[in-house]
Amino acid sequence: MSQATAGSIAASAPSDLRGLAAEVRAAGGRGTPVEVRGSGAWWTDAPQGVTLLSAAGLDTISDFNPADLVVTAGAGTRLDRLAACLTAKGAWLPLDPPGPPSRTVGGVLASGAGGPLAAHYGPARDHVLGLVVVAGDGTVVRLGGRVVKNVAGFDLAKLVIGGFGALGVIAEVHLRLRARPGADRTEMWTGSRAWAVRTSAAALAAGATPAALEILSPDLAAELGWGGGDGWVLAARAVGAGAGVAEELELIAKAAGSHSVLTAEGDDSWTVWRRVVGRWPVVLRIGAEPGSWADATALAERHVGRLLGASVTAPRGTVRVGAERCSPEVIGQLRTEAAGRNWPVTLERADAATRAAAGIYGALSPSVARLTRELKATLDPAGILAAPLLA
Amino acid sequence: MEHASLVQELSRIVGARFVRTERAELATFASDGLPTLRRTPALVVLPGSAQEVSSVLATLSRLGVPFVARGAGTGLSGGALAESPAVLVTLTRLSRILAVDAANRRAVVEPGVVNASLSRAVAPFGLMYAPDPSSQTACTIGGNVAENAGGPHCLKYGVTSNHVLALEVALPSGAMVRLGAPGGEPWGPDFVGLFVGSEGMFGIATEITVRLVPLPAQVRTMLADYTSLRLAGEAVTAIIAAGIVPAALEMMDHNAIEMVESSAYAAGYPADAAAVLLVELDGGAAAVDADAAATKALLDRSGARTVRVARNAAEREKLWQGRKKAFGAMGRISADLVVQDAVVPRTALPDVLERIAAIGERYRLRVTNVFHAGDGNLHPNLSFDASDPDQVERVHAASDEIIRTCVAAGGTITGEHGVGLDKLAYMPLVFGPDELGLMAAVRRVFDPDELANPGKVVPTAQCREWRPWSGA
Ligand SMILES: Cc1cc2nc3c(=O)[nH]c(=O)nc-3n(C[C@H](O)[C@H](O)[C@H](O)COP(=O)(O)OP(=O)(O)OC[C@H]3O[C@@H](n4cnc5c(N)ncnc54)[C@H](O)[C@@H]3O)c2cc1C
Repeated sequence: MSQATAGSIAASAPSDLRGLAAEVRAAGGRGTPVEVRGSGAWWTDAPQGVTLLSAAGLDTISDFNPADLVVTAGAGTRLDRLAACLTAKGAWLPLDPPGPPSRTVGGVLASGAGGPLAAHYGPARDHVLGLVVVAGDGTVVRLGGRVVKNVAGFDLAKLVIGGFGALGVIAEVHLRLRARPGADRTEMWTGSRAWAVRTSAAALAAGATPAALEILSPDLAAELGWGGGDGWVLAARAVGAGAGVAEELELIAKAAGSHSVLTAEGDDSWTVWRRVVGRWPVVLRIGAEPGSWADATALAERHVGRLLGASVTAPRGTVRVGAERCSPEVIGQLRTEAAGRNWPVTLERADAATRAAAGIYGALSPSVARLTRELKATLDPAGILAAPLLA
Repeated sequence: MEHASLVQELSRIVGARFVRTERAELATFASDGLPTLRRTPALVVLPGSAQEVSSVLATLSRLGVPFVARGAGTGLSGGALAESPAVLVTLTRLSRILAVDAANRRAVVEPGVVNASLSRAVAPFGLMYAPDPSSQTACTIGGNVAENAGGPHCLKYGVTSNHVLALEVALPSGAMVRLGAPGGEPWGPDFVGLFVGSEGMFGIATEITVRLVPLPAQVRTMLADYTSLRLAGEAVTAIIAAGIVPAALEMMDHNAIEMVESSAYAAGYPADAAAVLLVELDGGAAAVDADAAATKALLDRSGARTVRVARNAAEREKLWQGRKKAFGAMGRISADLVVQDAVVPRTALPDVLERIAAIGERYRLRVTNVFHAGDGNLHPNLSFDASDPDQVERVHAASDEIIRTCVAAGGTITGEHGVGLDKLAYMPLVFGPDELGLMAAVRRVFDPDELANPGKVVPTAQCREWRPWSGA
């Protein structure tokens, strides 16, 4: 399997929307499937017979109005560059997906990913006001808008977000921003898995609504240097006015029943989380519930074997597990058992062969699979956008 | 299809009592609160379960009869109107809260559950359902899902689409499908996100799993009054830019204040003010104290004449009363009211409000603004008498100019009431033939025969036909 990055094997890297649309249309004409890449840091290889189309050249931040807290950026804009531009004007995009900060905004939206901040701010879809998308036949469509409330027409952008580039190529995004908070503090507590289950439940029952409430498996915590020992770690991040931050963290300390083992200011430690989780070669995202995350991690362990780590966005019950490798058969078995509990399992990351064999979404219920196929045929009539959604 | 045999088939499914055919009865379903549009359905059917909804749709599909779903009929955009031969499928009998799962902060409801009754039911668990349209004592969760409804507290908490985790849907064929997962992660493409806001054109939501949020420990409400709309508009931007996220940030203009204050709902707003801002902060006690102090200081500096902070629940209720009863108060002074709905970037509020006032003057119409200022979501309300054709004509012309003004300012044609029939003609202002054609095509994925709520949202004549790949 090729380990080359998208940059080096991309057949084309257009620098504007027109060029991107032309490439998609040309691919359709040739009948050669394409996969889209942003930074090339997330899906690092290409399947046989597929041309890579890089969106990295569409990296203009074209419209940023700090007072309205809205920004428009090309899909190839790196998250770290975007963040620097926003920070300079007191704005903030609370979206912290796993992976290096060099990941592009388009790539992140295509994978639908959120990170720990999704606990409060939601995953990628909740930050998007509008998208400019190239459909599989090369048609450019402008979805949504640039205002924070908008119910004009069907919300087609939702399909493209989390569509991994198979339901349209993201060219440009309009994002909703927040003002940068005055205080931003994270505290960590440690204990057994049973303790973490009790603590997260108690914190939610007490009405906690921190910006992030992430539970980390011992191996992940150790790698991050967050726990020290061999315990599970609960990390709570609160942002806002200083007094409010202290109050929120106190609520969680009470649930934890102990003093925190570590305190950190700002988002540096979370950048480390993103890098470490972003190194896992296989990443599975399980959509469990707040009360069943421990079952979901145990289920993943049982099927996958040794995990590199697990990270749980407690208020949503989203469980992310990492592994060195995982066969499509194992992913299939995990999915079958998870489906029995109503948990979808998305293959966020794996090598091209595994993605193709297991499918990013896997097997869907027959009716949803039918809708997905028809949707795909609508948005990509020639089947040019190659990312393998279904098993 | 013979009308009589359709009635018979539907009666077999739901019981004869729940098929309405009398003219007088049908007339009560002919409006959705928009005074300029009335449509009479062929008949009204009221299913009592998801299974019955499915059977009704399967029957209509077999016979090729179009249908329109209806919740409480408060939509204001004509979305819930059905014109014969279309059948109205009214969901108010599906009004059970099926489950409250406090530990997972969620509830499962039937579509006919009234918005406010859900929040009431989960309050004992320390939880609430955040989206709170001003119509919340009447409108249904199913209608909220179809419209992606918002409300005053959506500034902080997000709109309906941020609160729907999973759906059970009866497709127009009658087939049932489950979209999403109860935990809220999409299952495959984000079909839940797509369905929310689809205005009844993708099928009927028969079961809705919603996210609940904790009731805030502390709530603080304040009222600032201004001698100019512009100053009030600028204060809105200043608050948000300072990093304060109020639970609600509502504005009422002079006409609205005057109407409320001269009604039974008088809330004690300064009657001579050009505008008032109603700001609510919620959260932990310390957070609210800090944010309230910062907000008060900002308001004082923003040129507010007075800033009044409610000291207790009774005072808070009173401050909200004027906002919540504004529509009732407006209804009292004129026979009819068009509640407009559009959005502009927050910073454009002062300019756009001035332009809207000028439009009102030019068309000799009383325009009253009561709206979600923090989101830039305007509701210019036009008072008139629908029995006077000249006034109706002026209302249409003024609405048209208002919408175009908002779009020109970088905004959009609707923020929460939806397109329905009312805004159909404005869709080309914000979307081109390709986008409209794609919307129509995606709709056909769910509804190949175009039976669900036909003729709404997407202006067919303006669509480019979204063709299968031609290889060109
Ligand atoms: C005084 C007043 C204040 C309002 N304030 C607000 C506000 O603050 N925010 C806001 O967003 N709206 C507001 N509205 C508009 C309206 O109340 C909302 O759009 C509400 O969501 C409509 O709910 P309903 O049950 O009345 O739906 P209806 O009007 O009955 O139907 C609306 C649409 O939903 C479809 N529909 C209904 N049920 C279903 C279902 N189960 N499955 C699929 N489709 C369905 C219908 O076909 C129709 O297209 C207000 C209206 C009034 C009259």
